[in-house]
Amino acid sequence: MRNIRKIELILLGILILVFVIMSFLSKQFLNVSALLQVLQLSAELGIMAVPMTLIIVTGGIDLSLASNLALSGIIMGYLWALFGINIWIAAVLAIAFAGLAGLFNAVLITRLDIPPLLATLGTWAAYRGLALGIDKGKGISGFPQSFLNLGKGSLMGIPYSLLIWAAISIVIYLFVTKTAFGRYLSAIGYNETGAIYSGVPVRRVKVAIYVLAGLLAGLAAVIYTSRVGAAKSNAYSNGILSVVAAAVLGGADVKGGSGTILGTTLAVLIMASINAGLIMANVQQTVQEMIIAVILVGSITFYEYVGRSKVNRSRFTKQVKDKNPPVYTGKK
Amino acid sequence: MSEILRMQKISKSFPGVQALKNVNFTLESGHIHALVGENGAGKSTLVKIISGVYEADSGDIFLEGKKIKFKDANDAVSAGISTVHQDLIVFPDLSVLENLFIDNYSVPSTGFIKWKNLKKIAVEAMEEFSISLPLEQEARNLSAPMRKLLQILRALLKKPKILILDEPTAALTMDEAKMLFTNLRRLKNKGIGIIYISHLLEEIFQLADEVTVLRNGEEIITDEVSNLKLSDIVKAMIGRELQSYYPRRKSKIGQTVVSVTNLSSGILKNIDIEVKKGEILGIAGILGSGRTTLAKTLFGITPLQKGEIFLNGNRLNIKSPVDAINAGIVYIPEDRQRQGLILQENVRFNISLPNLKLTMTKHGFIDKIKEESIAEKAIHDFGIEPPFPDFQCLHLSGGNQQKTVLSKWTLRNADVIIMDEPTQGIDVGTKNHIYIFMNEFASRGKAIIFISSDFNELINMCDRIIVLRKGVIVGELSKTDFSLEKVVALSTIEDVRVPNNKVSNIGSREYLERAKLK
Repeated sequence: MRNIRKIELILLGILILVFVIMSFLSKQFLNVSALLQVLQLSAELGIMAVPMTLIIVTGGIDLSLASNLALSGIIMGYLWALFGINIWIAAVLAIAFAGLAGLFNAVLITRLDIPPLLATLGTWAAYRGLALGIDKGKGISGFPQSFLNLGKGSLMGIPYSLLIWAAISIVIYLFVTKTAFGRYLSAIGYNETGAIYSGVPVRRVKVAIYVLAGLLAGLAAVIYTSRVGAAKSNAYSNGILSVVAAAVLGGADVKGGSGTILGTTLAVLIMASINAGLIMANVQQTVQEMIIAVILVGSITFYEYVGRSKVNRSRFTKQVKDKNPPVYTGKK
Repeated sequence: MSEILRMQKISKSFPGVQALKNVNFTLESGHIHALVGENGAGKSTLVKIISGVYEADSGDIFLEGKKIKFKDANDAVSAGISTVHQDLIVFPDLSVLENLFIDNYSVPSTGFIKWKNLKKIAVEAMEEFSISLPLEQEARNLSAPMRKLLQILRALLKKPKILILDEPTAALTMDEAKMLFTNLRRLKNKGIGIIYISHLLEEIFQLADEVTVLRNGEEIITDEVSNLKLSDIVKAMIGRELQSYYPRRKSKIGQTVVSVTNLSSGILKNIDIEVKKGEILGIAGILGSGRTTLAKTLFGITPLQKGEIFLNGNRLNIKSPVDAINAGIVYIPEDRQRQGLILQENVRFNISLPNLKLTMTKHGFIDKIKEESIAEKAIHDFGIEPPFPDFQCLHLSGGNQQKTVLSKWTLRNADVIIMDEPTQGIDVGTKNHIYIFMNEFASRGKAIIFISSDFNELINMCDRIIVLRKGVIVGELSKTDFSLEKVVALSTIEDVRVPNNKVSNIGSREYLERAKLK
C-alpha cells in the first residue's frame, strides 16, 4: 500500500530540482524549443510507459513492448516497401498487428496461466527475433516526406509526437480515474482472488490492458520510424529498461495495486530531462544507461522504505490528526 | 496450586484506540483460564503483551512472583511462555519432525542439525504428553486436528510454564475438539497454566476453571466458571442482556426462486436442490463434504460439469461470478480476508467494487458523491465500526470486516444470497447482528442458502436443512424434524443415508448406537 499522492508530490519536487541542476549544467537547457526537441526523443517512452503502468498495477509486467515496437516497425516498412501499400495504411496495419502481438501475450497469460514475467520474456525474444529474421539487419528507409513530418514536424512549436503522447496520457488518465476500469486494476493487483469473488471480470480486464499495450507499442513504432527515418530490427533495443524504470519511478508497485498515470508521466519527464541534460553535456551513452539502472533500483528501495515506515501508519491515523484525538473505544 | 502469572493494571493504547484499560489478570499453575470477549475487546492485545509481542504502556507483569519485562517475543518464550496461534501454521512440504523444530533447531557448533537427537526429543515429548504424531510423514497429510496438535507439541517442546491457545477449535469438528480437550486436561494436570481464548462459550464450561471477560479493553468479570451461568458471560461480553441469541422470524415462504437439477461439479454428484422465496435453506456437512463447492458452482467459480440451474424458471448459463451476479446470485465467501475483501483498500472501495454500476452516471463515469452516500448508508445500516468510509479494511476487526462483506453484497437487489460460514471467528454480539440481517433478508423475500459448520445455528436459523456428505445429499430435514443429533449423524457417520427424505429414525439413540458399533 503506497501513498501515491505523496509520491507524486515527491516526483514533482525532483523534476523541479532536475530542471534547476540541468539549467546550471547547460545554458541551452532553458531554451524552450531546444528542450522540446530533446523531450521529443522520449515520446515513445512516454507512450509505452502508460500501458506498462496499468499492467504493473495489476501485478503483471510486459517485457515484450520494445520488441513489439521493432517488429511492428519492420512490418510497416515491408508492407510499404515490398507490397507498395500506402504508408499511412501500412502504419494502421502495423498498429493492428502490434495489437495482435499484445493479444498473444494476453492469451499466454490469461488462458495458459503463464506468469506475465515469463510469458513476455519469451515474446520479448520471439518478437525481436521475428523482426531480425524478416529484415536480416538491412533496415528500410526512404519513406515519403509526409510520413517523416510526423516525427519531425510540429504544431505551434510543439512536436506532433509530444502532442500524441499528451493526448494518450490524458485520455487514459481520465478513463482510469473516472470509470470502473481503474478500480478493477488495483483490485486485481492487490488481491486477484478477492477481485474474482467481487465480480470483477479479471480475464477481460487483463486482455484489455495487454492488447492496449500492444496497440500503443505499434503507435510508438510508427512515431519512432518516422522520427528516425528508418525501420530497423534493432530499434529501441534497450528501451524496455527505461519503460519499466519510468513506471516504477512513478510509484507503480511491481507487487501490484499501486501506480498512477500522473506519477509515471512525471517520472518520464524526469528521466527525459536527465537524458536531455546528459546529451547536452556530452555524457557517454553507457553512462546514461547506468543512470537509468540506478533510478530503477534506487526508486524501488526508496518506495519500499517509505512504504513501510510512514505510509502505512499515516493511513491508519488519518482520522486522528488533532493533538488530542477522540479516543475510539469500539462501540457507541 | 500456585500463582504463576500476575498482570496488574495493564494499559495499552494504539493511535486513536484505547485497547486495554487497567486490566488485571492472574493465572495459576495447573489451571485453564479462559479469556473471552467480542472482537476488538482487547483479548489479543492482552495475549500479545503476555507473549512479549507488545509492550504495555503502563502496569506490571509478575512471573512466579518476580517482576519482569520482555524485550521481545523470543524473550517471553525463553521465560516459559508459549503461544499457539489461531492459524494452522505448518509447512506442508516438510515432515512433521521438521515442522516441530522449525523455530528451534538447536544447532550444535558444527552447524549441522542432529536429526537423531531431535527425533529422540520429539518421541520423549510425545510420550510425556500422550500425543502421537507420525514424525516421518509430510505435514500436508495431517488432518486439521493433527496439525493443531503439531502446533501444540511444537509449543510444548519449549517446556513452557504457560501455554496460550488462541481459538484452537476454530478449524475442528466436535469430535476433534473433544480429543483436543482430553489432551489439554492432561497438560493441566502436569501443572502447566493454560490461557484459553475462544468464541465458543460452551467450550469454556466444559474445559476452563476460571474465566475473564473483557469488553472495550476493560476487565468486566473474573470468576470461577462454576459460579457463572452462560447468560452471565454473554451479558458481560456484550454489555446488555441478549434477548434471544437466535432471533425469531416468521417465515413467509413463497415460490421457488432457484432450483438445481442433477448438478455435478468437482466432488458433487447429482445434486437436486430448490430454494424458495423467503426461505433460509441450511447446508450442513463437514469440511470436504462439497458444501463450498456447491456455493462456488452456483456463483460461477467452479465450472459446472453436468446439470442445470434455474432462477425464477429461467435456465441460467453461469460461467463466471459476473454472470451469477448479473443473474441475481451473490456469494458471501468463507474466507473474508482473502476472498471477501481487498484488505489494502478502504471500506468505500470494497463496498462499491461489485456495485460500481449503481454509482455511475449515464455516461459510465463514477459519481463520487453517489458512491460516498452509498458507502455511508451501508456503514450506517450495518453498524460498521469505526464509521469512516476511508478506513482501511485491514485494520477493521473480524466482525466489522464481515459486516463490510455483507453490506457490499446486499446493496444490490439480488434474489439469492449464499452465505458460507458467515459467523466463523466472530463474537456473540456480531453473530447476533448477522442473524438479524439474515432474517431481514428473508423477510424481504430473498432466498438464502446458509452453509455452516455450527449445526446449532443451522437448526435455529433455517427453515430446512440439507445434509451433504462426500459430495452427495444424504438427507433433507424439515423444520419439524430438526435435531442436533440427526444433523451430526447424517453428516459424519458412514452408511447413514436416507432415501425419500425419510428421517424419522435417524439420530434416534438406537440408530446412533448401531452406527457406532460398525
